[in-house]
Amino acid sequence: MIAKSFAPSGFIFNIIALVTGAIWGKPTWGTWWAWDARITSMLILALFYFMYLLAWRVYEDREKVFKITSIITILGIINVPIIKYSVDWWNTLHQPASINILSESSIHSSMLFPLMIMTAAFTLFSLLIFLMKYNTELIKIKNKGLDRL
Amino acid sequence: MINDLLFMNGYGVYVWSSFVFTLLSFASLYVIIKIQFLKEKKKFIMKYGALTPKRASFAKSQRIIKEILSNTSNI
Repeated sequence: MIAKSFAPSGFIFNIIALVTGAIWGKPTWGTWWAWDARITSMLILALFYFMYLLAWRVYEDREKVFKITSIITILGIINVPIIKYSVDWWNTLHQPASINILSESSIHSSMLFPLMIMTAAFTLFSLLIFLMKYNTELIKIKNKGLDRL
Repeated sequence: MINDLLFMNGYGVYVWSSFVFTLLSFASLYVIIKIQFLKEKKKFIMKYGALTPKRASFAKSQRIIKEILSNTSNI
């Protein structure tokens, strides 16, 4: 239920990253889209999110939906380190990681500070959506419980 | 000053369109989740209202149902 409640915000954040990345790619790289490792792996993640959300809508049988969403989640998790290290493993349009915990970050403070504020804002929004969705799922369970009374 | 903020040396159209897209995405997601929540809550209130007094008192003794009911005024 936690994964199901976090999925909508994850999917929307993924779409935002792809679309705004494409918008920003035009002036910086001269193209809206490139089959670059980072962008392609992000697109694959968006497809996993889409399949995950679709599975919950399509299948009625809970046993079946649990199995299918578990498989999608496991495959999606494998993709996460690929996204993270895609800029190091392959030659891409993206620069390597700008923020490092163990070594010195290459990002300028004029960009780091707004980035931190926006990260906090996205996290709080995601939390809000999670709580609303989680509450909805709880009421759904209770509705089924009332049917059985 | 305002022109500088709007046009950003020619990058304004990219920055502001990204900003608007993000804002619209956030607003749509919020509205969709809120509608789903209200729909389920309404369904719950209807089902709860249709229960016999005995079943309703049993259901009311459960903590989560109490919490849902505490946020509704039309029962």
